[in-house]
Amino acid sequence: MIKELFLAIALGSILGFGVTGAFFALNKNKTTPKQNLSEISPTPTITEIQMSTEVTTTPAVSSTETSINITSPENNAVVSNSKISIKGDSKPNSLIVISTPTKTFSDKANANGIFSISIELDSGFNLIKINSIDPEDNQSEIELNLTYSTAKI
Amino acid sequence: MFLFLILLFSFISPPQIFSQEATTVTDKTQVILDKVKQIVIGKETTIISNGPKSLVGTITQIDNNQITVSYKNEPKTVAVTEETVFIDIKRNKTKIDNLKSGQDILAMGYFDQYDNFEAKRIVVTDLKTVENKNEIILGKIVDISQSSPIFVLIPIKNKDNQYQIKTDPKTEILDKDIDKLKSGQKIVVIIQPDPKIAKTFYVSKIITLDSPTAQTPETSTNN
Repeated sequence: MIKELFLAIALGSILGFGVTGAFFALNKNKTTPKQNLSEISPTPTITEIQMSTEVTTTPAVSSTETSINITSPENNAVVSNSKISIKGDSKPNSLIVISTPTKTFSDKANANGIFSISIELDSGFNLIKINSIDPEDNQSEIELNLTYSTAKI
Repeated sequence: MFLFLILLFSFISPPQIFSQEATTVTDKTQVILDKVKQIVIGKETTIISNGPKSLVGTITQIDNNQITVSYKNEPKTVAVTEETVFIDIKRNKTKIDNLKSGQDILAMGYFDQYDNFEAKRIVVTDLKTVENKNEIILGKIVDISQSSPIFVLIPIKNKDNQYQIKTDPKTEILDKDIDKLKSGQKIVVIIQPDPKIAKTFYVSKIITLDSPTAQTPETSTNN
């Protein structure tokens, strides 16, 4: 009787550990792809680069698909000083090129993608084109309308 | 044995729950971070939104206290009051009666809480003169003329296109001399269509990307 009991416990243990092992193995397989995705996402795959290429070959104006965002000044703002700073964020280490109708300015975003570039406006309405070129050669463009006027508004 | 198996599963279950919780916590953290970011951006926008704004466009309709303009096929309404100052194209004061459909105007004023724009100053302008014709192209030089200051550039992301680009003594080049430009070199150009020669562009600025110093270009102007 005791012999049978031990045999039953041994068989049960083997079966139990087998099921446990299989369960852990399945769980591991489920979680591994998730981890890989999060690790891969900062460095785009070839497919991702191709997808972003499709977006950037036809630069959208003020589109949400662009990788550049202007935080200051606001679009259509009227400013009383011709020298202002364009602040925003883009992809890390991107080259930022800002073009007013008569002048061009360029600088580089920092490792966090943040940039602040001093530009000089012409008198009156200025249609400003802001381009971001990231280290993977993806180019994005947005437009910013600014008016420089010293008149009392 | 059945009991033993149940016991085993009860030991196995907690790690799964913990991993789900970990994922949920990460997701929640991300959601909170996004919310904070939105709040910060929202606050900044609110502060800036108090300042004066401008609208440009071509007049399509003039009513008593309202001017409708169109810019890039988007109609916008500008409210005018007795206090609104009107300036003609010669920078003289004028009246709303002298404005006509088809004229370009620059209206400066404020948006109210209902997003209506009330103009404090309206300046008649010519939008063609303030147009930004600059194009910023990232590409590779594929050919450099030996007899004229012209090179051919193919955009990195659109190899079906090509630009015939003309330099002149005013062309600014960061980090290198124009004479040192080579075929195969990756550059960013700021170009404008040459009004005299079809399909040719005048380059005001060249930024070279394949030299070590080009990675940290300094802010500069091309004029």
